[in-house]
Amino acid sequence: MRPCWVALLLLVALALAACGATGLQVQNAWVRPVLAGNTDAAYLVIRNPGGANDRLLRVECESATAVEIHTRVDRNGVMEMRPIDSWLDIPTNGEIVFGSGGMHIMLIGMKQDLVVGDTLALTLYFEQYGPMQVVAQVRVS
Amino acid sequence: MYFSLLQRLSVIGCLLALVACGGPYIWRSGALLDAATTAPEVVLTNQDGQPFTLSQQTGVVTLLFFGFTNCPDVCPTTLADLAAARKKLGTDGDKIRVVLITVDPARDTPERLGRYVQTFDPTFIALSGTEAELQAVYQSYGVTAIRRDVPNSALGYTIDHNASVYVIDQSGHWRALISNGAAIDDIVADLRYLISSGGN
Repeated sequence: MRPCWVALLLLVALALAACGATGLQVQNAWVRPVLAGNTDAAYLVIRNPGGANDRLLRVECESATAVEIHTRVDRNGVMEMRPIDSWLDIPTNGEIVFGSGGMHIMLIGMKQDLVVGDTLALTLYFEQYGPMQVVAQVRVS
Repeated sequence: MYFSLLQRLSVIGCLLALVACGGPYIWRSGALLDAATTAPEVVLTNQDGQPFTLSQQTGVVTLLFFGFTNCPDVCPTTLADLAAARKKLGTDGDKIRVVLITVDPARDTPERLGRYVQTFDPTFIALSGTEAELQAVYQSYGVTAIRRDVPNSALGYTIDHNASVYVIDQSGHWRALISNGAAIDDIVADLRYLISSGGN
Protein backbone atom coordinates (compact mmCIF):
# COMPACT_ATOMS: atom_id res chain seq x y z
CA MET A 1 0.00 0.00 0.00
CA ARG A 2 2.87 2.35 0.72
CA PRO A 3 3.70 3.07 -2.96
CA CYS A 4 0.01 4.03 -3.46
CA TRP A 5 0.19 6.65 -0.71
CA VAL A 6 3.36 8.10 -2.16
CA ALA A 7 1.75 8.25 -5.61
CA LEU A 8 -1.33 9.95 -4.14
CA LEU A 9 0.79 12.55 -2.36
CA LEU A 10 2.68 13.21 -5.56
CA LEU A 11 -0.58 13.65 -7.45
CA VAL A 12 -1.86 16.13 -4.86
CA ALA A 13 1.41 18.05 -5.01
CA LEU A 14 1.26 18.17 -8.80
CA ALA A 15 -2.36 19.32 -8.72
CA LEU A 16 -1.50 22.13 -6.30
CA ALA A 17 1.40 23.20 -8.49
CA ALA A 18 -0.85 23.19 -11.55
CA CYS A 19 -3.37 25.43 -9.75
CA GLY A 20 -0.64 27.94 -9.02
CA ALA A 21 0.74 28.37 -5.58
CA THR A 22 -1.00 31.68 -5.07
CA GLY A 23 -4.41 30.73 -6.44
CA LEU A 24 -4.87 33.97 -8.34
CA GLN A 25 -8.12 34.46 -10.25
CA VAL A 26 -8.75 36.84 -13.14
CA GLN A 27 -12.38 37.67 -13.85
CA ASN A 28 -14.48 39.71 -16.26
CA ALA A 29 -11.71 40.60 -18.72
CA TRP A 30 -12.98 42.82 -21.55
CA VAL A 31 -11.97 45.52 -24.00
CA ARG A 32 -13.92 47.87 -26.26
CA PRO A 33 -14.05 47.65 -30.05
CA VAL A 34 -11.15 49.55 -31.56
CA LEU A 35 -9.60 50.39 -34.89
CA ALA A 36 -6.06 49.43 -35.80
CA GLY A 37 -3.66 52.21 -34.85
CA ASN A 38 -5.83 53.50 -32.00
CA THR A 39 -5.49 53.03 -28.27
CA ASP A 40 -7.73 50.72 -26.27
CA ALA A 41 -8.12 49.83 -22.60
CA ALA A 42 -8.48 46.42 -21.00
CA TYR A 43 -10.54 45.98 -17.88
CA LEU A 44 -10.47 43.02 -15.50
CA VAL A 45 -10.40 42.03 -11.84
CA ILE A 46 -7.55 40.07 -10.24
CA ARG A 47 -8.42 38.31 -6.98
CA ASN A 48 -6.13 36.54 -4.58
CA PRO A 49 -8.40 34.40 -2.39
CA GLY A 50 -6.24 32.87 0.28
CA GLY A 51 -2.98 32.66 -1.63
CA ALA A 52 0.34 34.20 -0.71
CA ASN A 53 1.01 37.87 -1.38
CA ASP A 54 1.79 38.43 -5.04
CA ARG A 55 2.57 41.26 -7.44
CA LEU A 56 1.49 42.09 -10.95
CA LEU A 57 4.72 42.97 -12.71
CA ARG A 58 3.57 43.72 -16.24
CA VAL A 59 1.07 42.90 -18.96
CA GLU A 60 1.84 41.93 -22.54
CA CYS A 61 -0.38 41.78 -25.61
CA GLU A 62 0.85 40.73 -29.04
CA SER A 63 -1.88 42.79 -30.70
CA ALA A 64 -0.64 46.07 -29.19
CA THR A 65 2.55 48.00 -29.86
CA ALA A 66 2.91 48.75 -26.16
CA VAL A 67 1.02 47.91 -22.97
CA GLU A 68 1.01 50.18 -19.93
CA ILE A 69 -0.98 50.53 -16.77
CA HIS A 70 -2.54 53.94 -16.33
CA THR A 71 -4.84 55.51 -13.84
CA ARG A 72 -7.31 58.33 -14.23
CA VAL A 73 -7.42 61.34 -11.94
CA ASP A 74 -10.41 63.69 -11.82
CA ARG A 75 -9.28 67.22 -10.92
CA ASN A 76 -12.41 69.33 -10.70
CA GLY A 77 -13.89 67.81 -13.83
CA VAL A 78 -10.62 67.75 -15.78
CA MET A 79 -9.53 64.19 -16.47
CA GLU A 80 -5.86 63.38 -16.27
CA MET A 81 -4.20 60.10 -17.18
CA ARG A 82 -1.02 59.00 -15.51
CA PRO A 83 1.09 55.88 -16.10
CA ILE A 84 1.82 53.61 -13.15
CA ASP A 85 5.45 52.56 -13.41
CA SER A 86 5.74 50.25 -10.44
CA TRP A 87 4.38 46.79 -9.81
CA LEU A 88 0.98 46.35 -8.19
CA ASP A 89 0.67 44.41 -4.95
CA ILE A 90 -2.09 41.84 -4.60
CA PRO A 91 -2.14 40.86 -0.93
CA THR A 92 -3.71 37.71 0.39
CA ASN A 93 -7.51 38.01 0.07
CA GLY A 94 -7.00 41.27 -1.81
CA GLU A 95 -7.87 42.29 -5.32
CA ILE A 96 -6.94 44.74 -8.04
CA VAL A 97 -9.71 46.26 -10.13
CA PHE A 98 -9.00 47.60 -13.59
CA GLY A 99 -12.24 49.33 -14.42
CA SER A 100 -13.72 52.04 -16.56
CA GLY A 101 -13.18 55.36 -14.83
CA GLY A 102 -10.19 54.18 -12.83
CA MET A 103 -7.04 52.16 -13.31
CA HIS A 104 -6.85 50.48 -16.70
CA ILE A 105 -4.50 48.44 -18.85
CA MET A 106 -3.73 50.70 -21.78
CA LEU A 107 -3.18 49.00 -25.12
CA ILE A 108 -1.27 51.48 -27.25
CA GLY A 109 -1.11 51.24 -31.03
CA MET A 110 -3.44 48.34 -31.69
CA LYS A 111 -2.22 46.28 -34.64
CA GLN A 112 -5.67 45.12 -35.67
CA ASP A 113 -9.31 46.12 -35.58
CA LEU A 114 -11.42 44.58 -32.81
CA VAL A 115 -15.18 44.23 -33.16
CA VAL A 116 -17.84 43.05 -30.73
CA GLY A 117 -17.60 39.29 -30.37
CA ASP A 118 -13.84 39.12 -30.94
CA THR A 119 -11.45 38.07 -28.21
CA LEU A 120 -8.06 39.47 -27.27
CA ALA A 121 -5.23 37.50 -25.65
CA LEU A 122 -3.33 39.12 -22.80
CA THR A 123 -0.50 37.75 -20.69
CA LEU A 124 -0.26 38.90 -17.10
CA TYR A 125 3.10 38.39 -15.39
CA PHE A 126 3.05 37.89 -11.63
CA GLU A 127 6.04 37.72 -9.31
CA GLN A 128 4.97 34.47 -7.65
CA TYR A 129 2.46 32.93 -10.03
CA GLY A 130 4.44 33.62 -13.18
CA PRO A 131 2.72 34.24 -16.52
CA MET A 132 -1.04 33.86 -16.81
CA GLN A 133 -2.89 33.82 -20.12
CA VAL A 134 -6.14 35.76 -20.11
CA VAL A 135 -8.73 36.03 -22.86
CA ALA A 136 -10.62 39.34 -22.92
CA GLN A 137 -14.02 39.62 -24.59
CA VAL A 138 -14.60 42.53 -26.97
CA ARG A 139 -17.80 44.29 -26.01
CA VAL A 140 -19.23 47.79 -25.79
CA SER A 141 -19.59 48.02 -22.00
CA MET B 1 -60.15 86.88 6.54
CA TYR B 2 -62.27 87.28 3.46
CA PHE B 3 -61.27 86.12 -0.03
CA SER B 4 -63.29 87.03 -3.04
CA LEU B 5 -64.48 84.32 -5.41
CA LEU B 6 -61.97 85.58 -7.99
CA GLN B 7 -59.10 85.31 -5.51
CA ARG B 8 -60.14 81.80 -4.50
CA LEU B 9 -60.41 80.71 -8.13
CA SER B 10 -56.98 82.22 -8.86
CA VAL B 11 -55.37 80.23 -6.03
CA ILE B 12 -57.08 77.02 -7.13
CA GLY B 13 -56.03 77.70 -10.72
CA CYS B 14 -52.41 78.18 -9.73
CA LEU B 15 -52.41 74.99 -7.68
CA LEU B 16 -53.95 73.05 -10.56
CA ALA B 17 -51.36 74.49 -12.94
CA LEU B 18 -48.53 73.41 -10.64
CA VAL B 19 -49.96 69.90 -10.33
CA ALA B 20 -50.46 69.69 -14.09
CA CYS B 21 -46.90 70.83 -14.79
CA GLY B 22 -45.44 68.59 -12.09
CA GLY B 23 -43.13 71.45 -11.09
CA PRO B 24 -39.87 72.34 -12.79
CA TYR B 25 -38.03 69.49 -14.46
CA ILE B 26 -35.18 68.12 -12.38
CA TRP B 27 -32.19 67.39 -14.60
CA ARG B 28 -30.78 64.02 -13.64
CA SER B 29 -27.52 63.55 -15.53
CA GLY B 30 -25.66 66.70 -14.55
CA ALA B 31 -26.69 70.32 -14.33
CA LEU B 32 -29.39 72.36 -16.00
CA LEU B 33 -28.19 75.91 -16.64
CA ASP B 34 -30.12 78.57 -14.73
CA ALA B 35 -30.52 80.71 -17.80
CA ALA B 36 -30.26 79.10 -21.17
CA THR B 37 -28.17 81.24 -23.48
CA THR B 38 -27.43 81.01 -27.17
CA ALA B 39 -24.71 78.41 -27.53
CA PRO B 40 -21.35 79.85 -28.54
CA GLU B 41 -20.82 79.33 -32.26
CA VAL B 42 -18.79 76.39 -33.47
CA VAL B 43 -17.44 76.55 -37.01
CA LEU B 44 -15.12 73.62 -37.67
CA THR B 45 -14.54 70.86 -40.22
CA ASN B 46 -16.12 67.44 -40.01
CA GLN B 47 -14.54 64.07 -40.70
CA ASP B 48 -15.48 64.29 -44.38
CA GLY B 49 -13.76 67.64 -44.79
CA GLN B 50 -17.07 69.51 -44.87
CA PRO B 51 -17.77 72.64 -42.82
CA PHE B 52 -19.84 72.23 -39.68
CA THR B 53 -21.67 75.20 -38.17
CA LEU B 54 -23.42 74.66 -34.86
CA SER B 55 -25.99 77.42 -35.37
CA GLN B 56 -27.23 75.57 -38.45
CA GLN B 57 -28.04 72.43 -36.47
CA THR B 58 -31.51 73.55 -35.45
CA GLY B 59 -34.26 71.03 -34.88
CA VAL B 60 -32.02 68.50 -33.15
CA VAL B 61 -30.47 68.27 -29.71
CA THR B 62 -26.71 68.53 -30.15
CA LEU B 63 -24.40 66.92 -27.62
CA LEU B 64 -20.87 68.35 -27.75
CA PHE B 65 -18.03 66.35 -26.26
CA PHE B 66 -14.37 67.32 -26.26
CA GLY B 67 -11.97 64.38 -26.50
CA PHE B 68 -9.35 62.59 -28.58
CA THR B 69 -8.92 59.27 -30.28
CA ASN B 70 -5.92 58.16 -28.24
CA CYS B 71 -7.91 58.56 -25.05
CA PRO B 72 -8.38 54.99 -23.85
CA ASP B 73 -10.94 55.39 -21.10
CA VAL B 74 -12.85 58.65 -20.55
CA CYS B 75 -13.68 59.36 -24.20
CA PRO B 76 -14.71 55.84 -25.28
CA THR B 77 -16.75 55.44 -22.11
CA THR B 78 -18.60 58.70 -22.74
CA LEU B 79 -19.16 58.01 -26.44
CA ALA B 80 -20.32 54.45 -25.72
CA ASP B 81 -22.78 55.80 -23.13
CA LEU B 82 -24.13 58.39 -25.57
CA ALA B 83 -24.49 55.72 -28.24
CA ALA B 84 -26.37 53.52 -25.78
CA ALA B 85 -28.62 56.46 -24.83
CA ARG B 86 -29.42 57.15 -28.49
CA LYS B 87 -30.30 53.52 -28.98
CA LYS B 88 -32.57 53.51 -25.93
CA LEU B 89 -34.41 56.54 -27.28
CA GLY B 90 -35.59 54.49 -30.25
CA THR B 91 -36.84 56.65 -33.09
CA ASP B 92 -36.31 59.75 -30.92
CA GLY B 93 -32.61 58.96 -31.16
CA ASP B 94 -32.73 60.54 -34.61
CA LYS B 95 -33.36 63.87 -32.86
CA ILE B 96 -29.99 63.64 -31.10
CA ARG B 97 -26.72 64.63 -32.75
CA VAL B 98 -23.50 63.64 -31.00
CA VAL B 99 -20.46 65.70 -31.92
CA LEU B 100 -16.90 64.96 -30.83
CA ILE B 101 -14.54 67.94 -30.99
CA THR B 102 -10.90 66.91 -30.87
CA VAL B 103 -8.54 68.25 -28.23
CA ASP B 104 -5.61 66.61 -30.04
CA PRO B 105 -5.58 68.07 -33.57
CA ALA B 106 -1.94 67.12 -34.08
CA ARG B 107 -2.78 63.41 -34.11
CA ASP B 108 -6.49 63.38 -34.87
CA THR B 109 -6.71 63.66 -38.63
CA PRO B 110 -10.22 63.88 -40.10
CA GLU B 111 -9.85 60.31 -41.40
CA ARG B 112 -8.80 59.03 -38.00
CA LEU B 113 -11.59 60.94 -36.25
CA GLY B 114 -14.14 59.56 -38.67
CA ARG B 115 -13.08 55.97 -38.21
CA TYR B 116 -13.03 56.47 -34.46
CA VAL B 117 -16.55 57.81 -34.01
CA GLN B 118 -17.96 55.27 -36.46
CA THR B 119 -17.01 52.50 -34.03
CA PHE B 120 -19.57 53.90 -31.59
CA ASP B 121 -22.41 55.07 -33.81
CA PRO B 122 -22.48 55.74 -37.56
CA THR B 123 -24.38 59.00 -36.98
CA PHE B 124 -21.70 60.53 -34.75
CA ILE B 125 -19.84 63.55 -36.09
CA ALA B 126 -16.19 64.37 -35.37
CA LEU B 127 -14.77 67.86 -35.77
CA SER B 128 -11.34 69.34 -36.09
CA GLY B 129 -9.86 72.61 -37.26
CA THR B 130 -6.85 74.82 -37.01
CA GLU B 131 -5.28 75.40 -33.63
CA ALA B 132 -6.75 78.93 -33.58
CA GLU B 133 -10.25 77.74 -34.52
CA LEU B 134 -10.20 75.03 -31.88
CA GLN B 135 -8.79 77.28 -29.16
CA ALA B 136 -11.60 79.76 -29.79
CA VAL B 137 -14.18 77.00 -29.28
CA TYR B 138 -12.46 75.66 -26.15
CA GLN B 139 -12.40 79.17 -24.72
CA SER B 140 -16.03 79.94 -25.44
CA TYR B 141 -17.16 76.72 -23.73
CA GLY B 142 -14.67 76.98 -20.88
CA VAL B 143 -12.97 73.76 -21.91
CA THR B 144 -9.61 72.83 -20.46
CA ALA B 145 -7.36 70.99 -22.91
CA ILE B 146 -3.77 70.78 -21.77
CA ARG B 147 -1.13 68.76 -23.57
CA ARG B 148 1.00 66.94 -21.03
CA ASP B 149 4.18 65.12 -22.05
CA VAL B 150 4.47 61.62 -20.61
CA PRO B 151 8.10 60.66 -21.28
CA ASN B 152 7.73 57.32 -19.51
CA SER B 153 4.85 56.26 -21.77
CA ALA B 154 4.73 55.02 -25.36
CA LEU B 155 1.93 57.54 -25.82
CA GLY B 156 4.49 60.35 -25.78
CA TYR B 157 1.92 62.79 -24.52
CA THR B 158 -1.64 62.87 -23.33
CA ILE B 159 -4.29 65.55 -23.09
CA ASP B 160 -5.89 66.55 -19.81
CA HIS B 161 -9.41 67.63 -20.66
CA ASN B 162 -12.94 68.24 -19.41
CA ALA B 163 -15.22 65.25 -19.61
CA SER B 164 -18.66 66.89 -19.47
CA VAL B 165 -21.08 66.80 -22.38
CA TYR B 166 -22.49 70.17 -23.46
CA VAL B 167 -26.18 69.98 -24.30
CA ILE B 168 -27.52 72.34 -26.97
CA ASP B 169 -31.27 72.27 -27.56
CA GLN B 170 -33.22 72.37 -30.83
CA SER B 171 -33.28 76.17 -30.79
CA GLY B 172 -29.53 76.51 -30.38
CA HIS B 173 -29.58 77.26 -26.67
CA TRP B 174 -26.96 75.85 -24.35
CA ARG B 175 -29.25 74.23 -21.82
CA ALA B 176 -27.34 71.78 -19.68
CA LEU B 177 -24.30 69.66 -18.92
CA ILE B 178 -24.13 65.90 -18.67
CA SER B 179 -21.57 64.90 -16.06
CA ASN B 180 -18.90 62.33 -16.67
CA GLY B 181 -20.12 58.95 -15.45
CA ALA B 182 -23.83 59.84 -15.51
CA ALA B 183 -26.14 56.83 -15.65
CA ILE B 184 -27.42 56.04 -19.13
CA ASP B 185 -31.03 55.97 -17.94
CA ASP B 186 -30.63 59.47 -16.52
CA ILE B 187 -29.21 60.70 -19.82
CA VAL B 188 -32.13 59.11 -21.67
CA ALA B 189 -34.68 60.72 -19.33
CA ASP B 190 -33.11 64.15 -19.76
CA LEU B 191 -32.92 63.86 -23.53
CA ARG B 192 -36.57 62.75 -23.64
CA TYR B 193 -37.46 65.87 -21.69
CA LEU B 194 -35.56 68.10 -24.09
CA ILE B 195 -37.05 66.40 -27.13
CA SER B 196 -40.57 66.70 -25.76
CA SER B 197 -40.11 70.34 -24.77
CA GLY B 198 -39.04 71.10 -28.33
CA GLY B 199 -36.35 73.56 -27.36
CA ASN B 200 -38.70 75.83 -25.45
